[in-house]
Amino acid sequence: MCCSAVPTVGNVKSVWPTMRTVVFVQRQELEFTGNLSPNALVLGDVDNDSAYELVVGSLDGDLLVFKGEETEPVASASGLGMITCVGIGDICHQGKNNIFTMSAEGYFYIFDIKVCDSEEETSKLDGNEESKEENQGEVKPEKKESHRLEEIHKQHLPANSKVVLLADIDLDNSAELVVGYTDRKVRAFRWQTFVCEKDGESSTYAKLVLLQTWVLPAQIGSLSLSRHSDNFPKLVVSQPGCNYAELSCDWVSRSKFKEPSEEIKPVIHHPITNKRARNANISTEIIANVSKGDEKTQISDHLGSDRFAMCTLDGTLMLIEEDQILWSLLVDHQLFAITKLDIMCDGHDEVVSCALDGETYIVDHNRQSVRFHFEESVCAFAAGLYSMDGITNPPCLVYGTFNNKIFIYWNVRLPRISSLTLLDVIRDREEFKEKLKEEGIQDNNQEGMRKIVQYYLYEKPALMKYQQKQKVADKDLTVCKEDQDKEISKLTEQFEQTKVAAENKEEL
Amino acid sequence: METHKYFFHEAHFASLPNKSNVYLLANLRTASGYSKVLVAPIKGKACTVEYAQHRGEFRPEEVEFAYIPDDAELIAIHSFCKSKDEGLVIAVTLVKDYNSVKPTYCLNIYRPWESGSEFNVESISKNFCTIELDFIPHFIFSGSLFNKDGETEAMILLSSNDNKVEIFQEDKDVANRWNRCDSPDAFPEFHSLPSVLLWFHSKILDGKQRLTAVGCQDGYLRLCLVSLETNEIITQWECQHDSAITCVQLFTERSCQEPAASKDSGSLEKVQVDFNLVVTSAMEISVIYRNVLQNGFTEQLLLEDSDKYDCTLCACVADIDWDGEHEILIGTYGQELLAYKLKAAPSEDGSPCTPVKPSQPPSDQTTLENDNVFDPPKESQCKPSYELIWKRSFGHPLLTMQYMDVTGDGLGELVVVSTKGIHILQHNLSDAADILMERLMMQDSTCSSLEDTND
Repeated sequence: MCCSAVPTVGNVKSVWPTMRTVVFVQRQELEFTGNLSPNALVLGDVDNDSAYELVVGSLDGDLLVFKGEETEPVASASGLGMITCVGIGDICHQGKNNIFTMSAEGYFYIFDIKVCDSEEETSKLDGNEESKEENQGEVKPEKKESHRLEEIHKQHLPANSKVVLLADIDLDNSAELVVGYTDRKVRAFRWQTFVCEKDGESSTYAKLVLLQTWVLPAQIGSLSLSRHSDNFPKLVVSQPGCNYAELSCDWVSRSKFKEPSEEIKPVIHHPITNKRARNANISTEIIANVSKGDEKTQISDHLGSDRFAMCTLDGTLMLIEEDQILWSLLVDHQLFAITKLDIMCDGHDEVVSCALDGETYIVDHNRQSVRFHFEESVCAFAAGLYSMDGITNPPCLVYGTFNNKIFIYWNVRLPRISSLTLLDVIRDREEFKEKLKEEGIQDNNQEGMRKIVQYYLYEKPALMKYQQKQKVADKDLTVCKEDQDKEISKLTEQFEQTKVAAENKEEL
Repeated sequence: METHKYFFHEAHFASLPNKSNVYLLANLRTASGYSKVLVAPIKGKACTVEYAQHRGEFRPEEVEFAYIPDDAELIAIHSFCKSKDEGLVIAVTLVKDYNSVKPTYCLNIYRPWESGSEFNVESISKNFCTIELDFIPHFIFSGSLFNKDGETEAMILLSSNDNKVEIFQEDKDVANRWNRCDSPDAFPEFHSLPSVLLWFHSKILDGKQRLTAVGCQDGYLRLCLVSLETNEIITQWECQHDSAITCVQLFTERSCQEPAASKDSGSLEKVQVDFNLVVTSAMEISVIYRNVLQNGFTEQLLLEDSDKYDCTLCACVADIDWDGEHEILIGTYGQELLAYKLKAAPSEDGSPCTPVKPSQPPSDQTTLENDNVFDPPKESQCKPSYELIWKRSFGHPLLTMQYMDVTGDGLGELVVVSTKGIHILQHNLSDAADILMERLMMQDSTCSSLEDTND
């Protein structure tokens, strides 16, 4: 309508960005001491009860598990080195999730989480574990904690890890561990079980074995698993300046030889934005496999191409499909983390990116966006699912701050990303169209449509009630009148009778 | 969780550079009927929010009022239409040199809106009138009086720190020059107040009487029925609360005046004017005085739990579930928004007081269809009560709110001002669409006659 005319007056400035802004309210505050690495804040189902938990690893070597409405950790471990990455997943190929931590020094731990019911069970479980001799008191379950972390594996891997990814990168239906390092290397490991024969007795043990090492030309931002259009996994790693590289696994084509290959590994560089990037050396994060929704239900052969999103520290946020930029946003905030989250619970993933100052952008596939401002500096950010009640897993945003606090904004579900009016919703409904036709209102006559909405939502019910009330009142009135009439006739009758009687008397 | 019932979701949030206060929200109604929100922080530039139809988004804009120095602090903003065919007037009170020994208080009156034209921001700076005040202004409101020629005349009312209400009216000869009106009897309902007036609300009853509710800082509450012809108080009720009255709102139970019904029979009209008064008070529970014209302050209903969230600062009356009856919304400093609905309480024998329904209809719309279902006389047999039907938490304390149509779709939005900014809460659109469609369908069969009378 007419209000859409943009005023071009000098003293009006759109200082507030027009992007829709929301405020999330329901939040949980968690106490946490120490500093966090950006990749050491993870949401996932650690105890396999299908309710999601939060796992945090600090640079001081503490690992904490938060569950449900508890503000204290339900389980903790310490002395794990300078934890740079935490992961949750079925790393041991046992069909259940475990927690694993990776420290900058290269210490790699796998934990199993157990409910501590009694002392008895604790000792029994300890006895069953192979790695008992390795369990040198690093796990200190305190009495008040309802769960305890049990170290099931410890291994020294190459140091200087920065980011981990647990994913099936070679389509063998079991997950591999991919680690990105600050020295521009990426290594892939597989969990392998060995049989060891000693003194005639065979025992089994398992450990991570190196599959492949890739060396990249520039610093690694983050790792993510995309897929080729034929659904074959495609490991991608972000490169500075809003670019990414594709890492191909050499063991896949060469059948299942597990010996580490010494050949030059294929690293396919995908330059996306050489011209666009404001700074070619700016650090970049990537998230692949941003779900387009309905395609999930289609046959896997026709998955179509994968979409992924990247963000840079100088404020570029973009969505890419087949190396083509679908959209890009430039913001004035330093974006350091990017995730995907189905915040509307409709099957489409939205891209969620967080800046160091707490500004959070939620953008859908059509570039519709919502902002949320978290009013503190952020050192680690996660968007995912978290269960407060132990049953449902609503979407949530998690912020790790520099002030020893972690905030979980739970149930951040949005009904929609873009702003809509009621007219947008009903415009295409048949009943409404009919009504418009009946009233002779054109499609573009907003004033007329508005009046219809107003009348039927606000005025009509009130009118109906008045009408009904009046009807009842009228009825009462008529009832009264009838009663009166009756009374009068009765009285006249009586009067007549007495009169007659009197007359009779007189006559007598 | 997925099917969680909600009345409103946050459609937009516009942050303000500074804190606002309970008096700094104004509703700029455009000529086309829908609204633009004007909210000002205490310090800094005011902000309007409107809905840009073509882009489908809320657009906040900074507005610069002329003659408000940078160091000035705003106290209150009010906007009103002087008369039907004239444009909008915005009145702003402010204080200059707040930290000095002798701060100056001012009333600035702007005319940004010429009749028939759209909101023109540039004219805000050109067409204004400023009056220096010798008192500290609090609440600002507009009222109208009949002058000697029998015409209504719009006035600006300011409550002052010396427990009075000062009146300003426009100069008859010079447009937008406003003068202080010294007539002490202009508004007899404000005579001898015991403390500072914090809020008042008045309604004109069939053009002859004015019903005014006044709330004061010490908890004093006054309700006056004033004859517009003689300008004298017909009836006056008084009542004392224990803490400052933060907001008073007069309302009728039905969300609409009976335009069609009253035309048919004038005799019923007087019976149907049942004004209720919602009163929020800083430290006490919020209450509703029912049917004040007949009962004064005797029939009191409590809004349960409304005192549990710190000070109650604002109240809003709106029909948020589209059933033709007003609901009460209460905003608290404790960051909660509460919605109350009138419900008939169960009578003494335990059976629900609501009229016996042959088959319990699932929704209100079906109730309307059946003439037998609605049976008002039975209502009076038992005591109704207000029930908390919905609650929403905010991240910041709530200061004030209004229900208005910002999006221009006929559906109202709730504009809430918190200490951080402006929240625009939109109805559950799918609920609204479903109800609307249902009523459109129903309309064809049952009440086409009603439609005609209204048009």
